[in-house]
Amino acid sequence: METLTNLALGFEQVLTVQALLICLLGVTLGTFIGVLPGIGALTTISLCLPLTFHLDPLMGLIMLAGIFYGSQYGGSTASILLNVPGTAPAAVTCLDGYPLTKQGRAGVALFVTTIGSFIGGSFAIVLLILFAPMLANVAISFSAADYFSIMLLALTAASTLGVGSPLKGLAMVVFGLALGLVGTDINSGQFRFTFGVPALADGINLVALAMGLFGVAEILNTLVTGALPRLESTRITLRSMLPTKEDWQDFRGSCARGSLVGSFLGMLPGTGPTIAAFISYAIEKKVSRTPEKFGHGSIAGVTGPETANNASVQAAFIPTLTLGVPGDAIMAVMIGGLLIHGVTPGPQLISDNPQLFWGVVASFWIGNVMLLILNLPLIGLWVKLLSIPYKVLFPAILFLISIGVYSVNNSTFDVLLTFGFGLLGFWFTRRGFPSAPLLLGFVLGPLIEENFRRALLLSDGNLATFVERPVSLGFLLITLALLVAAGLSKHLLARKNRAQ
Amino acid sequence: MNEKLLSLLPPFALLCIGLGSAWVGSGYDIGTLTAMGPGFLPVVLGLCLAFLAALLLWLEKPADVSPLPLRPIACVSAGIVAWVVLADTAGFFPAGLAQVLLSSLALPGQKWVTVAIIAVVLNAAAYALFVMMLGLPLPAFGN
Repeated sequence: METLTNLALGFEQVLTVQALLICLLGVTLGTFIGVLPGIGALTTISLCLPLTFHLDPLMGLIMLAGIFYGSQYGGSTASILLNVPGTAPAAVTCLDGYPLTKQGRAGVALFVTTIGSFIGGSFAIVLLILFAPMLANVAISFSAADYFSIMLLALTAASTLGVGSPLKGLAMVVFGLALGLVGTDINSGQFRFTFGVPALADGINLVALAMGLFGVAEILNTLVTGALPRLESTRITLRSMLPTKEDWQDFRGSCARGSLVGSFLGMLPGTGPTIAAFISYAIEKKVSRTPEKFGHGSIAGVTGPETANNASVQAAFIPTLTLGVPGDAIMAVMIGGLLIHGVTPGPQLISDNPQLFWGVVASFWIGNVMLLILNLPLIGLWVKLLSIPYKVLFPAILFLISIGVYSVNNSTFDVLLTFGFGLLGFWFTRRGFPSAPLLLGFVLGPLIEENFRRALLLSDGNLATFVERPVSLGFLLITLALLVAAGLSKHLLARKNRAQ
Repeated sequence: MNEKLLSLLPPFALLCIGLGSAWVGSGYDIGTLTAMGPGFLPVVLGLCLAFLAALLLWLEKPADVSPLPLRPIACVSAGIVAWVVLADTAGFFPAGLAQVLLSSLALPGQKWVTVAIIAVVLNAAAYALFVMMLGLPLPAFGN
């Protein structure tokens, strides 16, 4: 009953003309950049972050969140039609989506991914409504030591569960933590690593870092590799979208599994939509009665991952809003945005600021319904978008990055910083050093330092405090298990390679 | 310099950053475990980073690095630097137009009429949004 009153409160906040327009703007923009290869959700969210400073926190969050989940809907379009993922999590969708297009079944693929996305997203929103308040109640008793261990787990998971080398991921996390130290130390007022530059006194600008590592680096990489996407003329009619009876059978099971897998992984700290999509694909292939169809146009192969990535995106708001611990780099930027607005995500958020929390939850429902409409009857419009050539697009994105970064502090130094991080991100990514762990480390750095200091202050300098508290010990053990597993898998892989 | 050694630049850079952070950090007050000073984490994290980077340097085998095409990198860089320099001295439009035109040079075969139209429309739209609506303090022309 209480849940219903809360939801009513939420809808009261968002059923206004302004909120509906902002939500529509967010999800439309999200679909737009999701469809376009070469600009991702992270770049767009950082680009829009300065714009939201002019809105109140709830409206800002509705818009940024809308971009995030909207891009998951759009991301599959380019994967299916062009074999080029519009967003990182949609990379898996290429495997079976593009073969379906070649067989002339692009319409069906687009239809099942949209419906799957909607169901996965809705399932995770229900979980969010039911579990977030419960988790917040539990988390209210968490101590500084517990928080430190949770964040340590998030960072370890984000760096070791990725696709590349776990060691490189860990190095990037530590690098990010170190970058997070730049600026004024809150406890003593000491300037750290500012080297006499006044613009660094408040720390490195989050927007500059994110735009450099993702926006500029992504563009450089696309230009250098020369893999520019090109669309062959495809027409998607509503009639061509209707799935056959067989398709429905494949769809039902994979959609249910995708929802569960995605929600579960989304709730864990450190695992974002990309991992959810990859794991879901592996599961679908394993349980399928026709595993030989995978890679040649399997409906389950597109439904599972697409459902899972949407579920994980919505479920990721559970730890982000109730613990203040982001699951991936995009959530980290969103937390950064909330902090700038003066809202601290954490167990008190739901009780202190119920309008914000329930308002955002209500906007998720509205946004997902809008996306269903945007992506089914209007799919033809988005397909046309794919014919915008990249050579026109990238100078525009670069210009928007300059002006967007500048607008945060009216500082050209920040724009130069963006450029520097762009070159660094480009160069490091080419050598297999991932940027996402760096960004996550950067945002969590100050929080980790604060909790680490407080925990040791309370325990009078006794490091045993981290293993004496059961919650903290539990998280540390999982962290250790992850590290051991990462080391072992590397070892086993090396042995397998030698055996061959 | 050996071409293959170039592939080890990222871990080497991380090693230097780690050691640098520890060194600079040791100049701040370190404090004790109970009452940490501002230098504690810079030193600890710096050493952690240096250790991981050293491990990577030891494990990584030098690989061939294919030479990068310089044109896109140079044009994108020139565009951003031009924006930074011109925004401070010549105003919103010279900076924005210069950036769009310069970065367009990154790819061959641009249709210059199209590029010019896009540059002007984009700049006008951005001026309306950022300067007129959001009050960004950048004059259209001049300083």
